[in-house]
Amino acid sequence: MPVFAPPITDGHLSSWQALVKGTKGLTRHALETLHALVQQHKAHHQPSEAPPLASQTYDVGVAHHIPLHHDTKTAVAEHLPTDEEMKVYDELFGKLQGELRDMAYHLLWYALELKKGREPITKDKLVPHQTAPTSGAA
Amino acid sequence: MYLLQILCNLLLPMLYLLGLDRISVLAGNAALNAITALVDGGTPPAKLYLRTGARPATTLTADSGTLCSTLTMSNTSFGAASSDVSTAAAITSDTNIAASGTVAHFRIKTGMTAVCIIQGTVDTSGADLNFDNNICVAGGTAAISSFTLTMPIT
Repeated sequence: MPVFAPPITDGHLSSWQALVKGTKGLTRHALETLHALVQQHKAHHQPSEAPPLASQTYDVGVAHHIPLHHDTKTAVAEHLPTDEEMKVYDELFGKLQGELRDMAYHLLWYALELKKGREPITKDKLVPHQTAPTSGAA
Repeated sequence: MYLLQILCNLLLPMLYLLGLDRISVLAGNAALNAITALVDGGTPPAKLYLRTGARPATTLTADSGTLCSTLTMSNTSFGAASSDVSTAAAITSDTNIAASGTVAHFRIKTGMTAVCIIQGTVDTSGADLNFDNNICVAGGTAAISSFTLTMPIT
């Protein structure tokens, strides 16, 4: 049972930088960490040649769990927050409102996807029923 | 009365050893069917709400946390119970999540009167309802592929 977030575009990352700069303290540190993680993933993304780790059918389409390319996995590894850090970030972000909250949880969602060793399954990657999976472009 | 008490104290442990402490499958199925019938009280179909924060103390306790997502059960939310398990019919995904947050509990309420019939914890593992990724992002899609209710038999 998953959540499929909207894709994070380069435009999102660019506009979010200004939002992040408006925060301070631990919240800013958390957002900067996650923002850097997403940027790292996008910068080092390579299509994976491996078959899906799993596939699951929903009413909205089929979700294929595409494993991260080995080089992509290596590139993001040191930027991934620990489980404990994820919990701390969640507590910080729970106090946010509006656009800032949405950005924060979008980044946190993306981080959890990467921690699972797979390409984040965004809404646009859901495959209509009875169609073959794609390679999982970022 | 004293002699009767002594006899009961001897007989009950013997009944336990015979395995008669368990609820019969017949009774378990009947209980589940009664619960799911409450979920379906009237139309429109019941809703499953995903919220942040700790699960409320009881189903009578007011809603708490942020409402992130609302999914719609089928008109008949569950099939007939079998072997102490009721399986939910198709649950319609929420394709436009209302609010961002980490989902930590769910509530199933009747469609007509919004009475909470079932509630439980949500996490990525070890919870009543386990999500592959339980972080809701506004505008995203929340989907549930399967949902079962199990009657404890001990």
